[in-house]
Amino acid sequence: MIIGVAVVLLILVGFIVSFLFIYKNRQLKYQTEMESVKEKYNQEILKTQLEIKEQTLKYISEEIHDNVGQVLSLAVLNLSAIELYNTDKAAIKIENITRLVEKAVADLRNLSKTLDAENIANVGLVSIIRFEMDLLEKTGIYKTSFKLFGEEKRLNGQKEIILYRIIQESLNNIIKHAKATFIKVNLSFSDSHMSIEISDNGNGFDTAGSTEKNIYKNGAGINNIKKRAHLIGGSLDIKSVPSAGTTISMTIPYTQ
Amino acid sequence: MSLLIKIYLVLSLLTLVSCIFTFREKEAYQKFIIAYLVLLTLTCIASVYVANVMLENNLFIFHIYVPIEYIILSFLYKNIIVNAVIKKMILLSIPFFVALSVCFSLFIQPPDTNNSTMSIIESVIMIFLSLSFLREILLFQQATALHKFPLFWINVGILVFFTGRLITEGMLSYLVSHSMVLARRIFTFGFVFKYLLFVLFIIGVFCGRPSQALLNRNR
Repeated sequence: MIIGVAVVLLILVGFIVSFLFIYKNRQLKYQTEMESVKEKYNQEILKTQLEIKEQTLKYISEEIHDNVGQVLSLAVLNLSAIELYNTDKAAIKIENITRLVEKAVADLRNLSKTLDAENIANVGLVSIIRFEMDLLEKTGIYKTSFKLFGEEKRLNGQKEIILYRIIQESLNNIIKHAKATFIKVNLSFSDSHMSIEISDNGNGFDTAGSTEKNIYKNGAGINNIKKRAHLIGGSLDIKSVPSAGTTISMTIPYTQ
Repeated sequence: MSLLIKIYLVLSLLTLVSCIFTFREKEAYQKFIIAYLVLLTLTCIASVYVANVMLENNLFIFHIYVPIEYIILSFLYKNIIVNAVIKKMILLSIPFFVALSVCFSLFIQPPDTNNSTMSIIESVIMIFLSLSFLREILLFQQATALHKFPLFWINVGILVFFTGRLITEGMLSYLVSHSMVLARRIFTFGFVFKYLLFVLFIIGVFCGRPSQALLNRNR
């Protein structure tokens, strides 16, 4: 009887200790996995923020070179050619120089409004997409359309940064590869999720046949866009037909 | 009243009182634990009274006790198990078990005999449910410190109790007709599992507050 009781107790203690040990191991493994996922997420956010900054700086440097630099060079040229002894001609030249400098100031003012990642938190995704579309329209190459459906709902700050980067990448890809003349962005907010649709009337591509690396040689590409959409709990769908344009549709829930 | 039954009664009352005074949050699962302990205590008192005072066959009490025990424990597991399929199965099994118990009591094992068959069926089901819950604890990482998770100890207690009952009930019916000496030994040995049930319940009651995850889920 005593032996029986001892055996039962031994089995019970063994069972409890084993179970606690297995549980602890699984818990450690789970915590390690969670930390790894969190680490990857943070790295992705950092990478996204750096890419946005890089993009912003690139844009600013191009604008300074193409616009502001040219305008100020012209102003200097006009200044060096002023005929001080001919007051009428000098007055006209000074007026031209004034207009050129005013244009340079206006261009610089616009540049200063160029938003980077930190500003998304202040102005929101809708404003920043509108800004991007306005910049494209100003180039004179593209006709753009931006439509908002529903009332804007703010997402978590990091989600908005990643979304902005996805949209920026998509627009960059249109500029580089699509040879489009019309770009449309539709943004809709429902009760549970947000939808973004970016479409163009460009070359399109064969989504089935071609490899993604061939299509987008900048290294970001569709894979990157899909990975980022998945990271924030969203889904991405790309529809494209050669010579008939491309449509990128994204759905992002408010809570992940 | 034998010493074994006295110890059983003391332990059951001790566990019941501990539960009533320690379970402050009054979560749903705590009510079922208290109800179960009340049932165990009352069944013990009733069976002792009928056997020792009224000098009658007290086995009919266990024909009533087993279905009520099944109902209480089923609702306990329905409350704590996450898996929706198992929850639904538990709910559907309750009327089925009660009906089966009534049929067995009327036609197969009358109230003046030991209802070993229904006890064995109940034990198998309860072992399955307790193992399912243990599996869920492992899968869903429900507690940061498992040794402080009351339901872990309570569930192990139920697992041990019904494993013991499965073994003893399975052997008792056979041994009673073949060797009363051995049957008495097995019956005495069965009390070990009953004591362990109460000891593990007491450990569960005092080991710590329920995990936040469970509190949030029950809300």
